[in-house]
Amino acid sequence: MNYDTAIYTLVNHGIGERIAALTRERGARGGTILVGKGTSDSALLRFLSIADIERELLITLVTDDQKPALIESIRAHCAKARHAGCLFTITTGGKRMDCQSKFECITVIVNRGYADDVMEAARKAGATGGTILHARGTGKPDDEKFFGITIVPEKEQVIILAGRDTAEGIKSAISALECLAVPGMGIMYSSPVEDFMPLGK
Amino acid sequence: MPEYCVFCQGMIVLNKMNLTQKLKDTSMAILPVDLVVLALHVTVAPLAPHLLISFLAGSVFVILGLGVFLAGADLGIVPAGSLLGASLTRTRNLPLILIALLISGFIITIAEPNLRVQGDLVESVTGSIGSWTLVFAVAGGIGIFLGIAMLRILLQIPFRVVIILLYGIALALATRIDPSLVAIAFDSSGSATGPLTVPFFIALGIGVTSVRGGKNAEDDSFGTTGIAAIGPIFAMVVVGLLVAGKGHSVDGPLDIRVEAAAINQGALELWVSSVPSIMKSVALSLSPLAALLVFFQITLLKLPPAQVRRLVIGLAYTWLGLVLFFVGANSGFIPAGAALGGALGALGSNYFLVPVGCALGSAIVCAEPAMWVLTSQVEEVTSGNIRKPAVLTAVALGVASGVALSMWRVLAGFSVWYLVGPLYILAISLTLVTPKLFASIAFDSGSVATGPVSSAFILPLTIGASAAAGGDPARDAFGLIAMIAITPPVSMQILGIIFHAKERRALKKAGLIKGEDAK
Repeated sequence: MNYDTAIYTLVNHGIGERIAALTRERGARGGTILVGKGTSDSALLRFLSIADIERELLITLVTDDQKPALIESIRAHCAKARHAGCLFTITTGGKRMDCQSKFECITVIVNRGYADDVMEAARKAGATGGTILHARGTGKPDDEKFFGITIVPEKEQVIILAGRDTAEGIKSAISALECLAVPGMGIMYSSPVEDFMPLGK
Repeated sequence: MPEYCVFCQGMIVLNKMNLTQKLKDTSMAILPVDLVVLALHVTVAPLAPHLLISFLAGSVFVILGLGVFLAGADLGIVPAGSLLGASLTRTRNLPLILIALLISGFIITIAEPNLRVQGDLVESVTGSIGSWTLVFAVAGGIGIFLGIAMLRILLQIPFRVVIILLYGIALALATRIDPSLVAIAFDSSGSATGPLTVPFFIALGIGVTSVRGGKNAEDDSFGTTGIAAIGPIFAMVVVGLLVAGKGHSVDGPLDIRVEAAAINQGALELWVSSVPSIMKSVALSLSPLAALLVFFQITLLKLPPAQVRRLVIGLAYTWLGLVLFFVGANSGFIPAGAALGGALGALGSNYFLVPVGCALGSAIVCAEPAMWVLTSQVEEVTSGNIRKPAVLTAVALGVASGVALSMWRVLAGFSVWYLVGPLYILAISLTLVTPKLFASIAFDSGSVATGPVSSAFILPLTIGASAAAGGDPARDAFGLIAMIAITPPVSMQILGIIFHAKERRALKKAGLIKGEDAK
């Protein structure tokens, strides 16, 4: 069996596990939940710094046969909640990407502390939101040691979903930032996504 | 931009927002306290109408205050602490790291308002130990032990080794000094670990481990507070040995604190008059932390502006939240607790107090601000593997059994050491069998549970019961603090053992590990 698609389900904190259980019932073999935070759209709330929303990102690998049924069941599960989250898929197998896809997933990995700057630049360029995940770098083999411990840099990973039309602007706005201009501080890449849909009402 | 994109990624999702979610959480935590008090009010311990109204209004303030404080801690103290821990470690300059931690621990502890109150009380009863002697000794103890806690993380010395060694020495030394000083020692440890120090220490530990990496990073993220809390005990033992001989005997500092809390002032008057002094005292205790952060921002952290802005706003929320919280707690919660304790104590030597203490104990610990910071950090570090309710339940059960045991002891009238001694030994020996992560969280939770709210609420109950049973209120009150400090570590570690067994069963079922695989 080829697991050709990764379903990314982005939901509010605490819902990821329920959806993971649901997808397992429908035949998925498992799922991985990443904990992150999103920011609200309201400028006022952002000004007051209380715009953070705890989010969970569930990644489920599925075969092409399972995909439609699973997506449908997740959508049905979330249909009643308001602004439940969103769902998209990324093709992982040997298949060629569908170049017609209308959306892009922009991933930026930067040193800790710079994710807010990235989000701010992205918003100015038309992004409607994004999710920030905590991560840490693995360090290079010749990295500094301290008491036999490798000091690893802390990272933040920002995921921004954007339409094809705005994605270019967002990417160029982010790459103009200090954290991507200076070597060793951050990287950015993007991949086309399919089946993008909002969950809930 | 298609409109559903707006739906998916942001919107003002007010009902899902962090602050609203926090308020929902804190209301769920405070409601049980209200229910217990109301149940007691209609059954055995009717409160005066103004006290009851004051209490209910107080709970609204406590809920709001806790919610805002937590939102502030998430933006301010917690990221600041972990960024500082991470940046210090990255300098790879051991003397610098240790000196910076020692000074930080010292400065932040000195600012803890409870500690100053404690110092004044101790001075007034002992005469030989000055208020500032106590404050400096305790803050110094915290600073040094904070350094030890970080050294442990860097040198990768197992938590259990450190805890067994330090507690072993502390308990052995405690037998060498005046027993009444032991009471002060444990109580000082409790008052030094308050709503500002604990979140900062927890965050420092997480920061240091996050850059250290390695496979044990998660296990070592906690335990900093648990180790730092031993510092004051050591410090007081040293003070005790120094003043030995020239000191007078001590008759219960706690007694006075409780009487001071049982104010008979008019309710409204109390509300209004307390606000300015609370605003000032919270600002005073936050300012050293703020000064410290400004200093490190200039010399070491050099954060980008967006991050600085968040920290500043976070500290402002922390201040506002703590002001709301303490206004509600001091004017509503504590007078009601004292009155309740008196009324229940007046019922006489009655084993009914055991379940009452149990219910109050488990409910009240959920109102500790630092408790919430600990549980949410645990959830974050374990990526949601250990959820908030699990930790809260374990600690609540621990405190409940601690209070119930104390009540029983007070009524039956046997020495506190018969309970505290075995419990400390049990807690320390459990570290040998429990999963490492749980052992470190467990000792943190012990120092968190002895915060301002639980001691203010449960102490009067014990004192009342003790007076009714003809015991020694001062010694009984001490017994309670030592009990609340040690029962959560026991219950958390038992939770850890259960959790581990369940996880193994689940993995085995999924065929991920084989039956004979020991680890």
